[in-house]
Amino acid sequence: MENLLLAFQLTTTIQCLAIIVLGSFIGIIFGVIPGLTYSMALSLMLPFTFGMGPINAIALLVAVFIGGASGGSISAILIGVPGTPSAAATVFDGYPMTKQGKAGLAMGITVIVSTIGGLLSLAAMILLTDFLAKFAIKFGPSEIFALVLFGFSTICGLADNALFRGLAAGIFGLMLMTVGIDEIEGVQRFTFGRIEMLQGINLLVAMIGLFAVPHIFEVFIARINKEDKKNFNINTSKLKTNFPDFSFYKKYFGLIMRCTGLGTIIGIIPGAGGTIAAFLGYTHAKNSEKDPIEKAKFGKGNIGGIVGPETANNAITGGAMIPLLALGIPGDPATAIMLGALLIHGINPGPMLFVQNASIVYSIYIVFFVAYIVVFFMQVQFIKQIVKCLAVKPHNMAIGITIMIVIGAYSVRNSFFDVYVMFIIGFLGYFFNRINIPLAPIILGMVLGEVIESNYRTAMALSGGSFKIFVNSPLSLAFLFLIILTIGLQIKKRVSEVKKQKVSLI
Amino acid sequence: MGKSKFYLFLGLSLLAFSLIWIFLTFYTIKANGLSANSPRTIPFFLGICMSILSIVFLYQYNLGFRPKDLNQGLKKNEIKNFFSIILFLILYTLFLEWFGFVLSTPIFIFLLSRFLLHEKNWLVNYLLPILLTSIIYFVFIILLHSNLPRGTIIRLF
Repeated sequence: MENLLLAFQLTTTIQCLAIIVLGSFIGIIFGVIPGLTYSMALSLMLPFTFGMGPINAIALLVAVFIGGASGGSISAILIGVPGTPSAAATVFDGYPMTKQGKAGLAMGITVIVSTIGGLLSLAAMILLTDFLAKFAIKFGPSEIFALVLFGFSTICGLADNALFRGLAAGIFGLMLMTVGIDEIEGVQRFTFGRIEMLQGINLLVAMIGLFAVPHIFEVFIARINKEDKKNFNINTSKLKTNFPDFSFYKKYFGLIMRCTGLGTIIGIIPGAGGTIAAFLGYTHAKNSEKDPIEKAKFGKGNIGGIVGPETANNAITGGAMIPLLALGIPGDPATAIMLGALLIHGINPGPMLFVQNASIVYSIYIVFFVAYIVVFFMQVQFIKQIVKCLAVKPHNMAIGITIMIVIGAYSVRNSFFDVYVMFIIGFLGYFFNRINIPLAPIILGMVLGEVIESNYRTAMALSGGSFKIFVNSPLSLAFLFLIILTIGLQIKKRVSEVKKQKVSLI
Repeated sequence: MGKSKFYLFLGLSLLAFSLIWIFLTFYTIKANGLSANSPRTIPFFLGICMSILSIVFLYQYNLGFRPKDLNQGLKKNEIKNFFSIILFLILYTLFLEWFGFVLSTPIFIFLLSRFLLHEKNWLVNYLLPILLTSIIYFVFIILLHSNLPRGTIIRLF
């Protein structure tokens, strides 16, 4: 109770509330503009958190995360281009509603179901995080090693449906994390005698490089080649968010509840993410529609086609925070960035967080709640102003991002070496993008690398160098079995796809 | 339809990278041999995993696999533009280091906008550099009491 009161005091200061409002606005803007993602917004906001206290830093990042998760649907509905990949399924029925002159209603439904989905997932987060943390506190290094490795294999396996390329990207991330001084024995690794390399590759610098640099390259090159995307000038004079009447809630209550559950569970699974949740939500909404006339309207402006994906893709926000807070394992790039920010401020997510820093956990819950309310009001009251940001030309936006990433990377350690490292990683990211190697596993490899290595080596030290420690514990054995199962199933799926491909070629 | 060279390129690149990595593991990390618990263990294991993956990619090439989602490579003019952007960014970073944020940033934005991105709107060319520099300066220095590069040459005076 004391911790809850403390958390309440910390999060209800004028400064914190102002930061939540600002973060929500930035998140919505990055969500609305196609091509910009909330992961990019989070990585750009990181340098700003260095000068803040931990609560304000968390407030800014959580607000950006929630704003970004909600904002993608605005452009999906109004211009038929999803602002974020997770809003892609909303286009199917949201945009036809706009063409039918029902943009206001589509916006209203989206705002309502997004907020309900997000807040219900917060409730699930509060219940499950505590439960999972109490269970995980009994884990030893061998169990943590196996669990994190399982999370890592899932992330790599699910990344863009490319198992081997995902694994290669993940291993590359793990490799980057081994650069610098080995924390256990103090031995230098891959430093080539350079002082700057002793601290290794900074995670935040790598994140800024991987998320932002490829984007600015894409935009600048498109502009130079005169292939740049046009900005969208929308007539906002008649734009207004309209809320549905009571019959809407009566009809879609069950669907909202089911899609919230679906989104929360998908959020918990490492690597699955909002896009999968949204498409599953859409498919579920379509399949659960019993009226054949209504079912035929899917893709032509059916309300259920907005309710399903929008509830599910916002419910992942709470779900994704569960493994982060309870186990210290981020499920997607956004939570990986948050983990990096928490670590900078000396907060170690995981089961011990509830014992050592319970007020921080409660603060996150409160910030989460307040951010959803703020995002709700912003999308209702300031929709006209938000939509105007679509008129900004992409290359002008990219110029601003360029300056911010250079200053951001510099301010991590006041070092120009970090700026060059960011560019090198960013160039690689751009190149990887071009040859379809997923970037998310690189980040997750970098985030999880240290946990994997330190727990592996502690377990080996405890066992006197015997690998039996990993099979003697039933839990770690179960996780290792799950790793084999995950990778095995992905290989089986890929082999059957290739067989089909060959048949079609013949 | 001929064999896609994607997996050949990927496999060979990764094989070369992993072999160099394993070599560096032994020659740059000072440890006694290769036990199951030494500073070399994880880097060595990662190098092995990467080389196994590279062999998988080469095997995929041999079987005639083609990635279902591969749609783009680097075009010739793209490479030229890619390097001009890199040059701009490196020059900006160097100027930032020498002359500091306040002096280098507006000039960089103007040059980037006017000459690389061919922006013709004079309002964008002249207003954006001043506006963006002022906003970032205000947020970092006045609001957050953080640091911005001051410039090694400027500091001499």
